[in-house]
Amino acid sequence: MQQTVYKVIGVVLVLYSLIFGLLTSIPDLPIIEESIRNLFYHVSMWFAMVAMMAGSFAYSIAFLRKENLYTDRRTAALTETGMLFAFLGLFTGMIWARFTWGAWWTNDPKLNGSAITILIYLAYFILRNGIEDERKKARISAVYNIFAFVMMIVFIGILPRMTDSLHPGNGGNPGFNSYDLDNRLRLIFYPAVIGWILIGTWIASLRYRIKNLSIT
Amino acid sequence: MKNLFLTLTATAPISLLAQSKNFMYSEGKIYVVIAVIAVIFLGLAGYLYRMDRKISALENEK
Amino acid sequence: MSNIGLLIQRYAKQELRNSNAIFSLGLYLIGITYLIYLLGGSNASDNSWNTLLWVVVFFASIMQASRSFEFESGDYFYYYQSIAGPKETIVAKLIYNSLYMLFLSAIAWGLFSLFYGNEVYQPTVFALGLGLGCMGFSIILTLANGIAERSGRNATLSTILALPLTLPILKLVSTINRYAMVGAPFDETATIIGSLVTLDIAIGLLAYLLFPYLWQD
Repeated sequence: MQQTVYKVIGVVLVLYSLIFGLLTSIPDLPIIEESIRNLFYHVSMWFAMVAMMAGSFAYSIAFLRKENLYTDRRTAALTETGMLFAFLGLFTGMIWARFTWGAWWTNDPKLNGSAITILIYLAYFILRNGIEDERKKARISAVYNIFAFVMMIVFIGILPRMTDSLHPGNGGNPGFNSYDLDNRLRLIFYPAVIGWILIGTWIASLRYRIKNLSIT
Repeated sequence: MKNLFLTLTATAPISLLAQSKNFMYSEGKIYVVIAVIAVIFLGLAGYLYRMDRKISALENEK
Repeated sequence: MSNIGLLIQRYAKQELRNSNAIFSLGLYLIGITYLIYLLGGSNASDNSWNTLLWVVVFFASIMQASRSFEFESGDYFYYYQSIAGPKETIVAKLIYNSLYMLFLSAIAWGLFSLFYGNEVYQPTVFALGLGLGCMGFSIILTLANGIAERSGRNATLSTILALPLTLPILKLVSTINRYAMVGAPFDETATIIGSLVTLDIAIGLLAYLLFPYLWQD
């Protein structure tokens, strides 16, 4: 196995979040109660997705500056892994919502943002599939990827702050926001995010190696 | 935490039988957390399975 | 700079020469508005007035933008490449498309006022919202159509690419218009207008920087 160190660290961090996320004491919150622990699992998925997409964004820019097919394969691998996290985040979010907000889906800006993000990147894959020539595919999808990432950041970062929301921390909900996140929760949450990002990098590297093998 | 562990093991089967409609809301909605973790793990396991099959197909080609 | 002006004039002349397109777009606007009127009746709440207006404008914009690159397809591509560089081409197309969409949305506004009455409290803010929205649509749709044209499969690809990307703009712009119709205090609207302006500038810059990579072979 190549580059074992970061993979081991990733596994250790996620394991830590799994065990201690369930063991730690939590603040007293109405309605959410114990399910605030989903912070470590559901929210980490979204942070990992953004990290993967940021990686593919960086590689897209790198490709446009110097055309190298390996760079393009990294872009594709990272985007695919990002989609995996996006779907996991979406489904776990729906489960969490069903039993705290009472519905599988609501008209909430963060949910809209996540649905739009998935649509945007699904279009990315449709675009890639439609072009035969590898160089052209790489170049055109790099252009779209850059644009897509910027729009994603706009939609999930900026718009939710402008309106009311059911999400904890926005629009007067009991729960958390980035400024008074309980220290006990932070202690588990930050390592969990880092751990999932590392796991995501591992998955993406595997997909990258598969692509290299299937082309040659 | 010890209390939670004890109550989970002792009352879970009982609440299951008695009120399965409120099951997910019981024990402070801890089961929602368990469901989330299960989904994530199964999702990853499924993804690994797909990748494994793809690699096997590639290896068989060679 | 003058090159861009010339390009825009050229696009306009091509459009007028082939007047089929303008008339079909106009007919589309009238037809859809009347369809909505027939189905919904003459009572429209502010919200539905606004929503429907934007749906109509949005789809008209998609139709219009899908023709952005029809003259540059196939062999004509090399001809156009020799006349104007990518940066001038994209700026010209963006401006041309924004103006065209603004024109379409103004007509749509007029038609809606005809059928439902015009209860917009702050028409200047409304117009500003329309203008910024059309700019945003134009940027995204033009870029998406450029991508679709270079990928060979035009028909639905540009819509698939553009639709999710335009949703943030639609959201912001319909909020501005809602505030303008209701007459909300300007500071609330101002923040949204500010975000929309920054968004438009950001994606405009992005499109300007990225388009040359599409424009090569």
